[in-house]
Amino acid sequence: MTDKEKQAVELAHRHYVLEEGLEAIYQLVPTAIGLEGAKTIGLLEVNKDTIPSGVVPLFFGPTKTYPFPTLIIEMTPDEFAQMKSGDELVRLPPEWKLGDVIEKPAHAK
Amino acid sequence: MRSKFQAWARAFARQAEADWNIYQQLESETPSKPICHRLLFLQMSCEKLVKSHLALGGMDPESNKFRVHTWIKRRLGEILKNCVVIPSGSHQLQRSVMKNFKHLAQEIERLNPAADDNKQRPENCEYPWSSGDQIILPLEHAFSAVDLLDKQHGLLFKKALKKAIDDQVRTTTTE
Repeated sequence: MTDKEKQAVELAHRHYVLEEGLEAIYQLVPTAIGLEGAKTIGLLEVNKDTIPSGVVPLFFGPTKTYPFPTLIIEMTPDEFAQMKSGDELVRLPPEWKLGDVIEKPAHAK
Repeated sequence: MRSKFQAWARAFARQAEADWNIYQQLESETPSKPICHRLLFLQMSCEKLVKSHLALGGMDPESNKFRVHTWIKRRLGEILKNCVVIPSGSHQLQRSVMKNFKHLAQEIERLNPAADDNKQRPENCEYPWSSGDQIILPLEHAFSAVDLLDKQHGLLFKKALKKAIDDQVRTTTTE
C-alpha cells in the first residue's frame, strides 16, 4: 500500500469513528482528465446525518499528520442512491470516479 | 435606502464567495501552502458572509458598528443554523452540531488580529505576536481551528458554510 493509500484508509477509519451517521466511505479515483487528482486523496462519504445539498467537493489541506490534500464529497444515502441511478443532478465531477468502498473498522461499529 | 443595502449585501456575498474559492484552492495545492494563509481566506470569507447578512438586515455598511471585526462569533452560528436541517437528525444531534459550529465560529473569529479578546488571545493569521520572551510567527503556529475542522462535524461546517455563501449570493442577486 502506498503512503497515499494508507492515509486514505486512516482518514476513512477516523471519520467512521467520529461520525456516527456514516454509512459508507468510498475511494474516489482520478479519471484521465483529473491528472491533478493524482496528488489528492478523494473520498465520497455517505452520511445519514448530513444536509442534502448535491455534490459539493470540499478540500482539506495537508497537515503534519496527513501530508496529502484531501477532497471529500459527502452525500445523504438518498443522494447516493440518486447518483448510482444516474441522476444528472447528483453527478461526480468529471475528474473523479467512484472507487472501492473502505470498510468500517470493527472499533467503529 | 433598502436598495443601497441590498447592493452592499450582494457585494459582500460575492466577495465571500471569491475568498472561499481562494481558500479551497489553497487547501488543494501541493506542495502545501502555509496554514495561516489558508485560514486567513477562510476567516475573511466568514466575515464577509456575516456582513452580507448584516447589510441585508438593514445595518448601514458605512457605520462604525458594521466595521468591527467581531461579528463572526455573534452571527455565523445563526446563519449556518438555517443551512443545517438534517432530515434524519435527532434534536440531540442538531444541538451537538450547533455547539461545534459555535465553537468553530469563535476560533475562526480569533484568527483576525483585531479579535484578540483584550490581548488574551493574540494568535492570529496575519501578524507576529509575543509570548513571554518569544516572538511567534503565524507561519509556524499550530492553529486550533485546523484541529476543529478535522474533528466531528468539521466537514459539515465547511459544507454548510459553502451552502450559506451560495444561498446568499443567489438571494442578493435575485431579490
